[in-house]
Amino acid sequence: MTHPTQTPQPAPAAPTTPSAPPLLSVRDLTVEFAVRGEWNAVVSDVSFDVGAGQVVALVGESGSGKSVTCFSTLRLIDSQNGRISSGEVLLNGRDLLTLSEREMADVRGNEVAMIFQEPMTSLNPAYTVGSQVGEVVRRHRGADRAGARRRAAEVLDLVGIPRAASRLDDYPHQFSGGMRQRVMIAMALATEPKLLIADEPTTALDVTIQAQVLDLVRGFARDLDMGVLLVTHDLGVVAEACDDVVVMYAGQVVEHAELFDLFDRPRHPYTSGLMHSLPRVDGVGGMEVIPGSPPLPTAFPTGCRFGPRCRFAEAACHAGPIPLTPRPSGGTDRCRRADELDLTPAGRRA
Amino acid sequence: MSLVPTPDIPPVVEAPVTEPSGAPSPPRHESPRRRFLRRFTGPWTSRAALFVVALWLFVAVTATWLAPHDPVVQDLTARRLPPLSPDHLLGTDSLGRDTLSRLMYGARVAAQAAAISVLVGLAFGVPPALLAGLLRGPWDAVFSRIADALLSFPPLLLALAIVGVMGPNLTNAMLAIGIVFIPRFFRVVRAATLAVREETFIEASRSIGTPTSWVLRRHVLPNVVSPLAVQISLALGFAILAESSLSFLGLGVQAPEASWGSMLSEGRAAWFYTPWPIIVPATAVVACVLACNVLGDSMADSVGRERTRA
Amino acid sequence: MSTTPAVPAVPATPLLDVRDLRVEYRSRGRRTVAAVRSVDLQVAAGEVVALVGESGSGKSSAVRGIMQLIRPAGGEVRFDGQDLTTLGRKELRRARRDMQMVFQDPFSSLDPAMTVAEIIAEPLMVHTDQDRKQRRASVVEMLELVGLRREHADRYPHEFSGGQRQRIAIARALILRPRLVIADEAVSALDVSSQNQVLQLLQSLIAELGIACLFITHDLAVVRSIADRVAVMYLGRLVEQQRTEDLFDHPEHPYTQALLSAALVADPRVQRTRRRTRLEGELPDPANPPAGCVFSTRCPLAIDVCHEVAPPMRPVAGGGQAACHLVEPA
Repeated sequence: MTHPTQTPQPAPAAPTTPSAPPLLSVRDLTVEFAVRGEWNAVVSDVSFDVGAGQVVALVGESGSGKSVTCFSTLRLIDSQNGRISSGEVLLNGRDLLTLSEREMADVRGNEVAMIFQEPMTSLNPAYTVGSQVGEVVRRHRGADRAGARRRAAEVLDLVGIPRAASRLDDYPHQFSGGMRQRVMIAMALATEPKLLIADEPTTALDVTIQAQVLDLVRGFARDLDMGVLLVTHDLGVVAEACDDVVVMYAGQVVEHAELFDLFDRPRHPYTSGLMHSLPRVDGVGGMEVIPGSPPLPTAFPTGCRFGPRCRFAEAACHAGPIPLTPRPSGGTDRCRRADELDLTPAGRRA
Repeated sequence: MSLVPTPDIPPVVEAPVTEPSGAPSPPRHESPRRRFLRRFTGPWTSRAALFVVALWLFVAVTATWLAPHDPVVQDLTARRLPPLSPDHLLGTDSLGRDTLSRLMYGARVAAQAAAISVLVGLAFGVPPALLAGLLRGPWDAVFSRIADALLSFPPLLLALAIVGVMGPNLTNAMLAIGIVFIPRFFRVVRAATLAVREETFIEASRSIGTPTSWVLRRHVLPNVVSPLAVQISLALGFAILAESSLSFLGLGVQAPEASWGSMLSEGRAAWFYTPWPIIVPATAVVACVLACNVLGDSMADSVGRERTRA
Repeated sequence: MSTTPAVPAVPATPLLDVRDLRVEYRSRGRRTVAAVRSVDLQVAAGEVVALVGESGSGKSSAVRGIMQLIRPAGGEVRFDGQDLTTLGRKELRRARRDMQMVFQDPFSSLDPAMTVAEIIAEPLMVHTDQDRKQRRASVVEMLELVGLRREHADRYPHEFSGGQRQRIAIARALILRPRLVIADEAVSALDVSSQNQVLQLLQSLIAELGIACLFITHDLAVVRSIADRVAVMYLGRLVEQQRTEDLFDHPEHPYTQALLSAALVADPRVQRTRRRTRLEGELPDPANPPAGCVFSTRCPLAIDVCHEVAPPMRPVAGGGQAACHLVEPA
């Protein structure tokens, strides 16, 4: 499962890592899925860190492996079709991949909590909101019924549900989408986890509600010194809420940098393509198109995986795998031509 | 301005996008029906079941030509012969009739019975179900209540009642079984129609300006065929069982005609001395009913309409 | 963005003229819920109008009311001068030839049991008497127009990605060369890179063929590049309608302002310095709309009159309209 002797290649440490060891450290994670009896790496050699109090974005389109990566950190992938074939997931120095299923169950929902995209289906419609939030507390904190109920009211209040104590006995269908996502966050926060993994937490929400939820997540990261791994496809969400960004394409990290550095000086053509393809409300962008669609895991190109869709690709780009190399301003990128291309907004205009 | 001028129409990369964890990607250009067949014929159980049903239907059609003897001709010099006797492969019954021939003609009777009842069920169950599912409203309410009422009759008692009124013969008995199928087909098709109805492609088709009959024929029907096929297969099994039961009781096929049920009934008296006149038709009934049920189950497993999500 | 500088705020002779449209649903408790309450909307020939709103705003119900997929509870929907709400089934079918739709979810809007060619040809089979060969030729032409290939014609929808399926849906909508296309959230279910591909394709095709478009979306950013005019909906009513550049430069209605300021910009230097109008609370229950202005329960500027009197749509500077007591009428 793991390779303790393997040394991580050119230290892809998080650009804004404080000197202390990071809260979560994912090292060379490779995840494979079986397609017609053949194992294909859907995620290959992914490494990144999440520090305490830090919000790290995992950005990519569907099929990029971002969701598989985040599910794998909690070992939540279907063991029938999927397996983590190598790598380490260190939470405070402890490798989660070597834990027993029992130990892992204690980590989930306790030290690490997770919230999902769909607030409508993530809550059980048959139980009251108070009992669902309380159950988490009882399971992991051993609180009694009354204590759990008190804690539930406390966290529901914390996430901004009006008159929280009086709504404990309401069922999920009595809450709106935005309120349900708040309940999910309350459930995640009830045990004061050190790490929150949020998979597209605002995608199903309206823009005016999205801002409220992002504020909430960011506020908790700061106030509770909680690390957040935020999985999203939306660079607007990244710009609003994150500190570090990991950009994934076709199962690999293609660029990893501090937020402002990444937007000021993108070095991978996919990153800059994403930044400029979507129309923005301030009228910038939307002029460029990334042609084609991402490759299937069964047909990843042998050379640069973005190569077939890249405007700057040369013959040498398709020759063999492109290694992850350090960025001059911190972080890593995976482009042969990163040094010669000027992908900054000014450079693109020139 | 962008670095490189935007192409008018962006090229499309060949490979469709599927979920990374997605099911095996199907071969190209495979229609949903083909995909169903591929999955369905995979396991050996369903292939075996398919073989049994095919054999049954083949024998049913060709009984007249294949049967070595006339099934009703008695030969009192050759009574109760054991199987593998010369000229009588499966032996004879207490009246000296050839068991193999009677078995073959019984297969034909069973097939007729199954066909009549299933056709009755389809004819009166499916069209109202499509209408009720697509249009909802009062039609749905009326048809559904009728179906509920039909469903509350115990099948064999209903058959007994109908045969009691209209006289004991196979057609009447199977009409009764057909009536039993009506609400079952109705419910399956209505439920499937309700699900299809919510799909946007129905709304899309209506927005194009298609009449209701078109929507039913071109969009709803093809998408409810699979669950219906499951139900038909299970119904065939039930029809075989029902026909033998009714014939066993003397309410279906009348003597001296051969049916699996009447063979069982006639063999009953002497079963302790000569068990084969019972074992042979019983095996046929069990094999066919089991095969139909296995077919139904494995069809149900293969129906799932998978989707590739980008 | 509009190509002609002089787009009138409200066209004189609109192709689609919606007046006082009302759409209601009857819920289980026999209560009627008004999803759309009095919407006026015009689309001129060749014009692209965006109808923007969040979930629960009634924008999708409005579209279904316009297309007569739901019979409206009241109001007129004039298409080319003919009131669709008064038409019988047969006449309505004929009228639909000139107005086609593209739906949000490309995974459920294509019949999985039909080939791509059958899907794209369906409008031809219903509305024309072309034979098989002519239809095939039209289908191939459409396929190439939307950036797919001839050999895709005999495949099934499940073999395509979301973006490709949406191209198929566009081909089906355009094959009759309709005069109006209604795109209901046509790109919001797609991935980032295919979203822009499909958006640009739709934009270039309707411009090329001179087709008018009513573009329904929740995403203001998308609107900016494609629409000539924008109408904003909230809780079943239009609250503002302006030319696109005017709306983005000086949104008049507080809800429009909030919507604009809540949209996230994919650039941290811009995003983190933007002024945000924070909206508290959520959309009221459409079955229990607030008295007075629909937005009054969440409006940061609301005054007493807002909770009592519903403001009418009034003209504003620049030729648009807004329904707010606090906006200076032009």
